[in-house]
Amino acid sequence: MRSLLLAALSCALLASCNRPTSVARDHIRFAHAPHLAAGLSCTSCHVNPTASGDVALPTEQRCRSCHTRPAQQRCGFCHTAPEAPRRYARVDRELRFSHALHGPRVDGNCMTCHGVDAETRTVRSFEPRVPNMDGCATRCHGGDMRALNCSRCHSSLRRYSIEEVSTVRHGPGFARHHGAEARSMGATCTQCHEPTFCARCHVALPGLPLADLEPMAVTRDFVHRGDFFARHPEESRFNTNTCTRCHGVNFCDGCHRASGIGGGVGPASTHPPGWLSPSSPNNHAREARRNLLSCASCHESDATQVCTPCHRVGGVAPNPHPPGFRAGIEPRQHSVCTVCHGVSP
Amino acid sequence: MNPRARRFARSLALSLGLATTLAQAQTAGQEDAPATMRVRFDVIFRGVPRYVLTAQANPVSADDRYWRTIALAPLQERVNLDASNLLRGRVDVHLSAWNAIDLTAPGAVDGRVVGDIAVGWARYHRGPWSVWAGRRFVAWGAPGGLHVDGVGAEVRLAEALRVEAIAGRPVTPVYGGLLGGRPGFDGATGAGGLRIGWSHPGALSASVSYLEQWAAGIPARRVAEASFVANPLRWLDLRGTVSWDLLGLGLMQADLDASAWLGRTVELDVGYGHLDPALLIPRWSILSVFVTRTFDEARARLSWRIVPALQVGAEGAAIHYDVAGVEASKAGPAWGGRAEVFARLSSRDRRESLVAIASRRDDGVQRMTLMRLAGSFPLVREVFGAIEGAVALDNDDFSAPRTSWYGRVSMEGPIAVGWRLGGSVDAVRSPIATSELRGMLHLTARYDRQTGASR
Repeated sequence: MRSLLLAALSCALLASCNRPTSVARDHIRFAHAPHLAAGLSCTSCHVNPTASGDVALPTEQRCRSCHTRPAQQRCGFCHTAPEAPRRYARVDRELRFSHALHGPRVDGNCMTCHGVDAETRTVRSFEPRVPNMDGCATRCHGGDMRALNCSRCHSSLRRYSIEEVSTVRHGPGFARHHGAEARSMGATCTQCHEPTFCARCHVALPGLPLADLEPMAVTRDFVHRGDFFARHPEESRFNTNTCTRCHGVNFCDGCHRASGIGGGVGPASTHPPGWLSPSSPNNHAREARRNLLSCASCHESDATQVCTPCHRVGGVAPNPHPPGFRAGIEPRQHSVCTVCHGVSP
Repeated sequence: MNPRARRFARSLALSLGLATTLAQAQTAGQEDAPATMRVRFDVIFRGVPRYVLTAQANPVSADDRYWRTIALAPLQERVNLDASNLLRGRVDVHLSAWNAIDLTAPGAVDGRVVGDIAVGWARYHRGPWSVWAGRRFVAWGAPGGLHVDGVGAEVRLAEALRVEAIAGRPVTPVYGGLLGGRPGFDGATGAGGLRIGWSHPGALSASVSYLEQWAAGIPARRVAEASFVANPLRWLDLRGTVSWDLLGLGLMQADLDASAWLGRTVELDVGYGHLDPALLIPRWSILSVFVTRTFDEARARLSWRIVPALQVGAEGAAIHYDVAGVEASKAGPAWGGRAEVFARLSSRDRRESLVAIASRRDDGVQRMTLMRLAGSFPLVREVFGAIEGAVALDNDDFSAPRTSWYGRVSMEGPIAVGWRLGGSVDAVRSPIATSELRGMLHLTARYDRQTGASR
């Protein structure tokens, strides 16, 4: 408790220190269209890419080499706030991109990526666009996009929400088959998700259900949709294997014991009437064959007391082993075997 | 160590860990990879009834059993911390911890206060090597992964080839009261495994692993697992996981899927699944020797993004149940199935979204139909609202005892930079309660920092 309060205090302090600074007021006026109309090409101003592969923005000196008239020499010709002029606003796109590498692949034609629809834009109104991810995927990087190989281009995905990424790859049903992807290429997952992300669902600590931890994310594909607690008895009957993948076979036991549910064969227990009657449609043998994991979820630890008094060798109940059963352990040496079969001489 | 001392030691360790990582994230990472830190802190206060089945002996020596309602008002907190590239880019620290205190009985301890570290580990990496120690979730090795207190090491032999080993003690939840579970060790006493993986996203990623668990002096589980994701064509993805039980020499679990992208808006997904539940029960339990039915499922799903804002789809599955060596009259129905249709609507900026789902399951004995409608939308600027409603019909009967319905209205908005406050009201009808109202307030803080950014 004390430590979590300390964490809250730390967060508050850090958040208060993290307030955004004042916004830069100066901007540099520039229009591409008139420059192109004057016969300049892209590389007239954007000279060769830098050593790092980034494209160079023109310096003030380069602008002044053309803009020589007195009126054009005034700061206010380009700067919106000449009393406090600034450089170009540096936009951190958190991308790994090299103009030097891409240039030769498009034969030096910048319009391949930066162009706009030629029919709707003329050279008089042209403004180069910043390529969006859709364009990258359509032309060359479709495979990377489908494989969520985001780190090939993105140095960080912090600005994107999971909903945005889901339009690329996390389609319907992803929750079911994400396990194979997590096992085979976990590093891909960690491009967006921190390692503790898995623990939110897979570490079975129900102190905070995910639906309460994320109350606004109602449209996400959480496995435990809506009031899962109210209908979990039915859900677990239909597909216990789905539960067991995350929760383990003894997950239910403690909670059911703490609340008293399933503690007997009475009318209020989870065991229906006729549970012990061989002629009843609710007979426990039928239910066990139907879904043994539902038995194991409560009786894994006390099965020796619950099951073997009848199912032991010489007991009133039949042999429980399936055909071709192999114990997988040294027979008659451990209590799992000897409780029914006795100790071998 | 007594519980009070253990709690103090845990608090001290958690505080030191937080303070260290906060300090490191402020200063480290200037020379190498940038240090990053993400912290999320949640406080949730709920008013919830909890039902406890109570047995009371009566004069005729029979138990009276009835549901007793216990009103709980737990104040729950959770902190998530992920700090990467500390100490010159060589150390990562990950922590997720929670606790809960029931305010309806202040002063009471043991059973009214629970909490623990869900995961918490540190990783040191240098060159192709990395080692970690602590409590973490390991995605591979066992169906559902493995929650373990232990140590592990990984080496990158080539650009895409990695070898990984773990050893530790599996963690399982233990319930000591009504507020929730906490990690315990009532399962396997030891586990160890090895994994070899090849990862080339967009082409082929595959791994094979071996995991062994021990308990009560016997090998409780030996699992060999193979997993792969392949993209043989631009429009085709293949993925699968197969788990083989080496103790029983049987196929424990298998999932194979193929996804075909028809154009850029239609996805067809077909899959097959197999499960032998008896093999999921570890060998220290005598239940592992009982016969049970196996599941084989064939499924298909078609989804179509009609326009960027609207996606619809349908899914169907046929499930075959088989009980080896048991006559059909005792084995129960051999076939079951499920079907689902859904529609998703979202605005271009993702601020408004709506989802509608109708799902039906039938295992040959029991049927359930689940209908759900949920949406979120902005109310005023950054203040968002969300609505959610669901009905689960038991055997197609609205008045059946196990039919339940659920409604929730939520609202959340910013109260300071990085902090959001929200509230929810639920109305519920469950198999236990004919109707009830629940309330919840939640406060969330997120802190995201990157130092020494390269751009």
